[in-house]
Amino acid sequence: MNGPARATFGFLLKKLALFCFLLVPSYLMSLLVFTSGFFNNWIPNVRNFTGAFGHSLVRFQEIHNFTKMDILFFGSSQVYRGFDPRVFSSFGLRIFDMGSPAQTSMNSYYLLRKFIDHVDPSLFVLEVGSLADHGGDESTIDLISNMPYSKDMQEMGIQTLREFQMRTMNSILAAYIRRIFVPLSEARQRYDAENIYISNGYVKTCRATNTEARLEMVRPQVRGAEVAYLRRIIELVSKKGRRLLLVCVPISKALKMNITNYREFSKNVNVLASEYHVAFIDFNEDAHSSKIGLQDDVDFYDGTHLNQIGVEKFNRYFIRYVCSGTCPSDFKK
Amino acid sequence: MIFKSVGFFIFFGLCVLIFFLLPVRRRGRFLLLASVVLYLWIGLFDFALVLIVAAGNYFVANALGKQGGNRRLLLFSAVGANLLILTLLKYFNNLASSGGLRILSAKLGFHSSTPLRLAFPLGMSFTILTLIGYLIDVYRRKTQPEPNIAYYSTFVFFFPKIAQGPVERAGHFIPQLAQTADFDYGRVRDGIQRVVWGLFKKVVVADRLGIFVNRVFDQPRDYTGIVLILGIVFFAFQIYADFSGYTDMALGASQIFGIRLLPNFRRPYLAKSIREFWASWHMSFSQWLRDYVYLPLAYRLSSLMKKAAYFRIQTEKWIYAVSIMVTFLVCGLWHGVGWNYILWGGLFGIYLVFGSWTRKSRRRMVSFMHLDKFPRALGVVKIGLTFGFVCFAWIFFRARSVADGFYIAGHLFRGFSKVLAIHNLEDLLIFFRFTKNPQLVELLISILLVAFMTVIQIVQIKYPLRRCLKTQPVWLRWIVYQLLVLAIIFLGAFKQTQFIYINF
Repeated sequence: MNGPARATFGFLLKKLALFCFLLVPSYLMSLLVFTSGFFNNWIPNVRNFTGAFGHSLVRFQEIHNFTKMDILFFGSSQVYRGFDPRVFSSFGLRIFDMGSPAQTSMNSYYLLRKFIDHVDPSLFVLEVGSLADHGGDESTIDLISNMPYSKDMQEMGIQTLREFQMRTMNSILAAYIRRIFVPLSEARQRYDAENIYISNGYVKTCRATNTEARLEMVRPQVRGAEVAYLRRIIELVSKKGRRLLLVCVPISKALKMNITNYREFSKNVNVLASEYHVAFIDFNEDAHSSKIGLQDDVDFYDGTHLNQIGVEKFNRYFIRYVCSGTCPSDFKK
Repeated sequence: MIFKSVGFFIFFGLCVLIFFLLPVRRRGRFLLLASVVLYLWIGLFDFALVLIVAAGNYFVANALGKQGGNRRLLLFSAVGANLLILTLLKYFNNLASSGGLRILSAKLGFHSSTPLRLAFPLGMSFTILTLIGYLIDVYRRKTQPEPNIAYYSTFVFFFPKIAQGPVERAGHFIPQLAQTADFDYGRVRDGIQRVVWGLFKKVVVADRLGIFVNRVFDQPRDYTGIVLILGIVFFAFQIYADFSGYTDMALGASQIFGIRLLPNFRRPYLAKSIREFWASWHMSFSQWLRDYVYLPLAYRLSSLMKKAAYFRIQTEKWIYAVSIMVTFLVCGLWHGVGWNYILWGGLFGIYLVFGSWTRKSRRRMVSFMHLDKFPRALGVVKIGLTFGFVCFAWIFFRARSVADGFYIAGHLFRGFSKVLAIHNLEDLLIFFRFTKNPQLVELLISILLVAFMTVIQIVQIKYPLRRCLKTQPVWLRWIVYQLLVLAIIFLGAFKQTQFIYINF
């Protein structure tokens, strides 16, 4: 490169550096603007989950009041919409739903690590239906947006960002920036008529009918990383000398039929559970589903979520099965 | 390796940096080295296969450049071999999974539960088109065979164009390698702008529209009327933004290295006729088809056929019809295996033949209806009609099967009464088979993106945007650049989707 060309090349590099430098404040400003007011949740690559309808904000404020409980549930929305503490309480059991939207084993592991020394349940129940779903980015955004800053949550964020996703990165950054202006203690839970937070982590849905459009055939693949986290959860729980139960919460028969590898998935979880001598109950097995008596159009409001009628039916069966003599012997109370 | 990935951009940035730090005389070789490294990164098999094909064509071209010998036979053999390789690679997987070949292999004693599959090397069909063009040009003495193996290899492997072209001509590309330009601020800046604009078109426009398009074309029988029409219009813009986005990235990247590639697009959806559309859509390929398929065929037919009228139609018109139909069937076949591609190509052939045969009568009708007194309105009608015909052809291009294509075509104007039954957001969500609000946001963003692209196209006719931008004050230009980058960050769909034409 000759002299003048070298000078202009340097000039271009300086300009590019200046451009990137100026881009940072524009980017941070945009994050704030796009997660508040009119734009909130209208921009595809940035989401504001603080106080969102998964009700994680109130759930994780409430958990601090609990230390003693009988069962602590982890998992996706199937957990916080599927285990009603009022039904359990009528049987004399105290539970807490520590689910979050689309929670995967990775999210559950970091949550468990954070809370295992704080809570003392007789039984941990982990819902494993989300194993074959996704990388846990949605739940990471939700948890980071609604929980105080902690080492575990930060580590979870970093783990999620290893699979670089623009939306996750933007949303996590936006959650931290918003907190500078509005502390989490002042954040407000959004309310809607369809999702009502009851207590103990449970969210009641007011939707009664299953209006889901025709379901497509799917063949979800179990992610290796998720299985690795499941192993870590089992090891962590057994190291602390606690008991763990893995479950698959009921899904509609139509959805189960459309998951072409469901049987294979269930079998794999069973093998893993046997390896660690942990009990696994798949409530979608014919033996259970016929006894629970759930119907697609009566007891579900979509393919994966039970409505209140379904929740009550399922919870009664769950209590009878897990907490009475019909369940595997090590879970007898 | 995905060409919109962070990995590719890091590689590209490093290449630019090293390119300009090297002495001018070594830059050409560095481009070749970078291209080879990228190809090896993609896969050794891909590289080895392209290398074999390129080497074979190099020797054939040199032989064709010499006097004497049976040049014609050599050309036909070489073109035939290239086509055979392309056909084998392109159609092998379909043949291998077909019943006939399985029975044959079983009879020959090969028993396998899974059919043998071949990975189609990246950019192979574009490379073979480029090489066939090169051989024919050498045969016609339009181009001299390139004796410098480094220049020839760069012509074949040059990394910005390997995946989707443009289909380059040796006479246009190779002379530029000998005049490697030094760093020029304006050229590099324009190149970077073009790359960013291409990336915007790909990740923001194409991939975001793709979400709705996939929904409709994966389950077309769930929809009728307006949803199908929206799906087709969105696909028309998706494929345009996808392909022209890649082309802009390729042209911009090459421009940084001081090489001008052939243009591929010139506002195709503002064409006033199908002929005009093909003169502005995938131009390097349509010119290739014109020079190496259509014109030779038309000349051959005109020397074979006597001047007379067959079924009251002049020979010239028959020659045009046959040549165009063959050319567009070849065009369809090149795009892929399946009747839908043949149908797509055939439809364009029919449009062009019909357009040519009815030109006089259409002109008479326009003048009879006094429409020629309103040239602007007439222009808008022509653009609308052309776009409509193009969209109709896109149905078969995108549909997963011919049956799906016919279903979509047959249900475009049905179910409109349901639109009238939409009274609130809930109805709208059910109508579009949406269950969540974010999906409605996707639809609204898609509509806005199509409107944005249309406005940009229209404005570009009179005011070429990049040229206009150059004349603006620096603060305004920087605001525009920042908005473009922020749009990519906040609106881009970053799922691992490849460029559509990479499959062809």
